[in-house]
Formats: sequence, C-alpha cells, structure tokens
Amino acid sequence: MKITRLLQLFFILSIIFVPSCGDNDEEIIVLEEVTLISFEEATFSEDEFIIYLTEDPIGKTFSFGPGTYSFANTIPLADIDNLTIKGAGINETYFDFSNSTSTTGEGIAAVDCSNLLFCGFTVQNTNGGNGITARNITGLRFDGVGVVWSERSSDNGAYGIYPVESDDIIVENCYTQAAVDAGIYSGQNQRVIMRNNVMTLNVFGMEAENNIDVEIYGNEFTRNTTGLLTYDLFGVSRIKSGSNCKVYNNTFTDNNESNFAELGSGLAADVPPGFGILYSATTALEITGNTFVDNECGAVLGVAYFLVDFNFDPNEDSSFTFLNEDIYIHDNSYSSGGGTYNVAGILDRPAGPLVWYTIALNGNVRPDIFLDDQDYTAGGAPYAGSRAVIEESSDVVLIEANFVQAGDGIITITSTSLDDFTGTGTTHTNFDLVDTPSDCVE
Amino acid sequence: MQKTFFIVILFLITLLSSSCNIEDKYAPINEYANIDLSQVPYNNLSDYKFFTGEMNELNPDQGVYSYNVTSPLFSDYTSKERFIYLPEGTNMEYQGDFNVLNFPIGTIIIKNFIYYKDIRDKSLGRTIIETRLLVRKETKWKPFSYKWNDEQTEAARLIVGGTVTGSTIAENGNLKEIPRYVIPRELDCRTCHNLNEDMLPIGPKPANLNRLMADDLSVNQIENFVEQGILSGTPANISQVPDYRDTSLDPITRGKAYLDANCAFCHRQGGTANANGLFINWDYEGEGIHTGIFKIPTNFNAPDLQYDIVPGSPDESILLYRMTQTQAPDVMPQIGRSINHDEGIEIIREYIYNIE
Repeated sequence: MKITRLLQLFFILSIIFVPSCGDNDEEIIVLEEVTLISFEEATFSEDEFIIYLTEDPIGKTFSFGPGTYSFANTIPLADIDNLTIKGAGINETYFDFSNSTSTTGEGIAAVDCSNLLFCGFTVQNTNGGNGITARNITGLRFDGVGVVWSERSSDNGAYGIYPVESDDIIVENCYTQAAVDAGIYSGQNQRVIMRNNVMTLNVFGMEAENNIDVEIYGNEFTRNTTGLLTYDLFGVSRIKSGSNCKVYNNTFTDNNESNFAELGSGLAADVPPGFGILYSATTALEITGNTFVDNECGAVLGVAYFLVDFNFDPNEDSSFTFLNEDIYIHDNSYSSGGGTYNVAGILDRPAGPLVWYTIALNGNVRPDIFLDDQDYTAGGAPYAGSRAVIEESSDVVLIEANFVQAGDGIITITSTSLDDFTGTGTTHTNFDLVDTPSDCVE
Repeated sequence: MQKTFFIVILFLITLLSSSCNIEDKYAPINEYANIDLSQVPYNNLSDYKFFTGEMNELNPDQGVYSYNVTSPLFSDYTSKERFIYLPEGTNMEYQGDFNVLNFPIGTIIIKNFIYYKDIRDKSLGRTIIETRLLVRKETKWKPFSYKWNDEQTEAARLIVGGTVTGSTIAENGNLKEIPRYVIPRELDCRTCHNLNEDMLPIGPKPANLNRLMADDLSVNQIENFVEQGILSGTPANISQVPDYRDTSLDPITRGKAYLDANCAFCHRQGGTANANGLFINWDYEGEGIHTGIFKIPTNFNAPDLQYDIVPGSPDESILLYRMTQTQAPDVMPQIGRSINHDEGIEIIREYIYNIE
C-alpha cells in the first residue's frame, strides 16, 4: 500500500511513570512513537494527508519533497500539539491552490494548536484567502516559508502569513509577494519576532496590529505600496490596544507601487503608495537603525486614529488608545532619491482619509517624517496627543500638520522643526519569547 | 461445592478489578444500545443502531431522542432531523439559558441532512445526504461524518468530505437547485464548533430548545425532556431565541435571531472569529462597535464598503454583502453554504434598514 511505502517510522524508547492500580508505583516501559511522514510529488494524495491530519497528527512531521503539490482545499490543522510541515526549500516545494474550491480560500488554516513549525515551502495562488492563517496557537514558527500570488490582483488573498490571537511567534527567512493587504501580518499576538524576511509587491509588506511585544528587524521591504503598517484597530477583541514594538535595522526601498486593493474598508484600501512606515493608534514604538531609500511620499507617517476612521468616536470605549504615545524615532538613514510624488497613485484612493496627508504634500518639500499633531476635538472634548521624540541628523525633513478639517481640504502645517521633537525617548522593552525549535536545515 | 464456586468467582472479580489493564478505561459505557465508545467511530452508521426498522426512516431506538431548535442554521435548503443519544441511565444538565447543555460522556448528537422533493409535502419522498455525529468522548467532543449511499440503506464514514448535487422545493414553492452541496471534511467541523479552544455542540442550548415539540404542539420540548428524566437542573423560566421564520415578529427581532443561528457560532466572544470583535449572538448585551455598527472589519475588504453595518443602509453594509456572495473569500458563513439564502437575505436587509 502506498501509505505504508511512504512511511518512515522512527520509534524512540522512552520511559514514563504511570500510577498502577495497586499501592506500589511501578515503572512501565512503553513505546513512544515519533513519526516522520514523507510525501513525494509523484505519489502524493491529498486525501491521505487529510486522513493523517484527522486521525493522528500529534507529534508528526510531514515532509514534502521537491515539486508542486496541487491542493483542492484548505489544509486544516486543529487541536494539534507538536506538528511540523516541512518542504525541501522555499524554492523547491510548492503548495499550489490555483484549483482549490475552498470557501475560505485559505492555503493552510491552523486553529487551537501548540508548537507548530512551518518551514521550507511556498504556498502559491490561494483562491482569495490568506496563505497561512494561524489562530490561537502557542508556539509558532515560520522559517523559510513563501506565500506568493503570481500577479497583483484584487482577487488575491488579503494576507500571506497571518498569525492571530497567538503567543510566542517567530516569522523568519520568509518571502511574500502580492498579498492584497499585507504580506506578513501579526494581529492580537503576544511576543512576536519577525526578522530577515523579504516582502515585495504587496499592498503592505508587513502589518502589526494590536500586539504586545514585537520586534521587527533585518527585513527587506521592497516595492510594496507601503512598507510597514503598525497600528491598533478599534473594536477587536483579545488585545484592544497593543504596545511595545521595535522596528530596527530594516531596509525600506522603493515602496511606491500602486494600490491594487479594491476601494473599500480598512487601511489597505485607503493607503496611498509611497511610505516606508505608517503608524497609527500606537503605544511604545521605537524606530531605529532602519534605512529608507526612495519611498516617494516619505519614510515615516504617523497619524491619529481619527484619520484612519472618520466615524471614530473616542467615547465609545475608553480602553482604546487612539493617539500615538511613546514614539521614539532615532538614528535611521534617509535617502529620498529625488523622485516625484506618485500623484496619480494618490488620487486613485479618493475614499481614504489618508489621502489628505499626501495631497497636503503638494507644494511642500517632501518630508522624510510626516506627523499628525494629534490635536483634535471629538464629542465636544479636546484631545492632545504627545509628540514623538525624534533624534535624527539635521538634514532630515519633517512636517507636522493639523488635520482637523482635512475632510474639508484644509490642512495646517504646525511644525517643520526637529527641535520641537526633543525629549527622552522610550526605548523598547526586551521580552522573553518561548522559542519553538526549528529543525529546518537549509 | 457451591460455596467454593462463589469464592472462586469472588477471587476472580477481585483480581479483575485490581488489575491494571488498559482496556478498563475504555469499557463500554452501557449495554442498551451497544455503543462501545472505544470503538467509535464505527465504519458505518448502521453499526450504532440509533434507529429501528428501515434506517432511512430515522425512527429513533431506545436512548435516542429527537429534538428541534427554534432558529435553525441555513444549510443550502437541507432539512435536518436531529437526535441525541444518551448512554443508559445518564441525563443532560442545564447550565445556563445560552450555554449548551452539559452532556454525559458517551453522548452522541446526530444530525441528518436531507433534501425533501417538496418540503411542503414530505410524503413525496426525500434523500438523506449525510449524517454528522458529535461524540462526547472521555475528554473532548469528536466529529464524525457519514455519507448515505444512493440506495439510502447505509451511510459510510467519510473523513475527507465531498460534494453532491441536491434540489428541493422550498416553503415558498420555489425550486432550489444546489449544484454543489458540500459535505465538510471532519476537520472542517472545528471551524464552527469551537468555543474557548474546545470543540462543542452549537444548537442544543436551552434558549434554542425552548419550543414546542415538532410532533406534539401541546408540549414544550424542554419540559418533555425533564419529564422523560433526561434533563435536570432547569429553572422555571428559560429565555428563547425566537424563530426568525416567524413573520409576525418585528424586523429587529427576526434579524437578531437569524444572526444568532447563522453567524454567532463564530461571531461571539470565544468563538472562531473572536479576534474580529463582532459579537452578534442573541445574548450579547453590549452596544456599539461590537454589534457591527460602523465597525471596520479586521481582515476583509469589500468593494466600496466601509463598515459591517451602516444603520439604515443595508446595501452599504458588509454584513449583508457577504450573505449575497458564494465564492471565497467573500462568502459568509465561510463553510456550509454554496447558494444564497434568499429569505435570510431579506430578513437581514429589513434588520439593517430598521436599525437606527
């Protein structure tokens, strides 16, 4: 039988103690089965794989040889401890979902698991859903995983790699391309490291939303609509307001591609091209050591939540932090490259509140850092957010503006001086992440 | 001689009961329906012996109880016949109007998905498509699926799901063709049957069961369970999720009842969609953003639409939009529906139109 032929079983003798029925504890030797199940392209059966995942997935490593594996449906993982899905390499093993009939449109969907490891494969062309969704996972690592769509199309999946409501996550050495929202996303998670990834041709290269304790470093954001979005969305459940994110030693290059999302809801639909980092409703963000090259609208854009959602009412939930607090931007490298604004791309997004920011650029010197002065009146009450602390070389161009009447097209410049942004910056707090081991050899 | 015999028997009993045999844990829960929990899932539905006579008539045997819910989930115009199997001598316990009953180990919830030729006249015949079981094992619920054969004599376990075609004439006399009815994979059950990291039944909560018996409109279903001795701990008064099909109800009530049955298994606190913060279960008491009003969805971009619900404007509301879609990733619910529920769409249209 095919399955048997493909099975490589490894048995490890282990000793466990179990209470006996009598008074004396006795030592019983049992066989603990650790199983590597290998698939090859030529003989792979999706049904066999699904039966394994249904009947006995715990502790298994599913290894896929080189080649393209075509899936008719989402790969579902539920209630599993210790599982590895492993390919022969990010450019060797492809999981193709072009012909999937999944109604979620996802490639892989994991829920309620612990210690999951994905490595050495690429998910391609899911039919409208995320590449890999991971919900409520404790201990999650993506190492050398690709999620790609062949073309930039509004029918693509929103997110490439999408962990949500999870803890202790590492996303490293991954590649994402042409997600219609964000290539790599982290939402409502605690303790997240996203490092050494490459994101290109997505709307956002990466998005961090409502997380606590995040480090984003060593990544390349190249030719996305905008590089990185870090913000808090109002009205979510597990983490209403995030905190403590450090973005360092990344490169943001030429993130000016047109926005190919359908006009609609959320920032992905609204964001005009040309920014390195966009942040909003964020607490404790440190941006340092990054290199910004040729992002046409600016390196860093910081806005209060009022500009994300014109209907936002701060009285509705006092636990939501809608202004930016404890922002520390220092020691980054800025190179504008002398390009022109992508005005056509900007005006392509007329529905988005953010468009006012970029229209405000007309007639002004293009800034490297462009900030909301966070001076608002809402529901009859005044709100004044604190300024970011900025320590950059004196040739960095900054514009701070008031957008209270942005909807009427009136935008007032309130500062262009770095001297208004001095103070003691809040540095990122280190955190201890429980590391999910990776046995990916590449 | 007799005395010696008894001593030997006693000795054997003592020996057996003190042995440490792994089988002990998995001894049959009861004898009367011969369901050996350690052997579940059986390969064939008939192995469970849930039904007497011709299996396809779905006449429940001893220990198997028919039930109905007030406000059913739409599943491509299938009709559903629901049963609960309880091990002999056990009963279900009330644990709150909106919490599913506490079921004893060994419980099996049985849901049959059926296309009647004409729902208005059941005597014209029917096809049972599939039977889904939720089994209360020792530590958790496990789902198992069975697909009926063309002869309607047996249903075999189907882990990997599949598709069939179906058709029925609905209550309003319209012919409904379902070219691609999907039998979910067993792993897909978790998509909806999920609360606070545990797999759980959805339907059998007291507020859903609080209705008249389908076959005896003079008897309340919950009272009937109590009288039969299979349900304990019920209070005098129990809430009810109304029947959204009841046209005498106001549009807001019908809408909320529809959302409870068709969306809230995920869109509630602790549900699969907990992260999204859209809570549209009947018993959610909050107001504002979490009810969907002017709420930006966390991970969905609808063409030219901003918010889940725009009060008074159903056609500007993502919630209604997704009910009118059948393809990934727009379709909601994400599994279990391949064609539109026209009546449900109208209920939600009226609901949003009437929200102030």
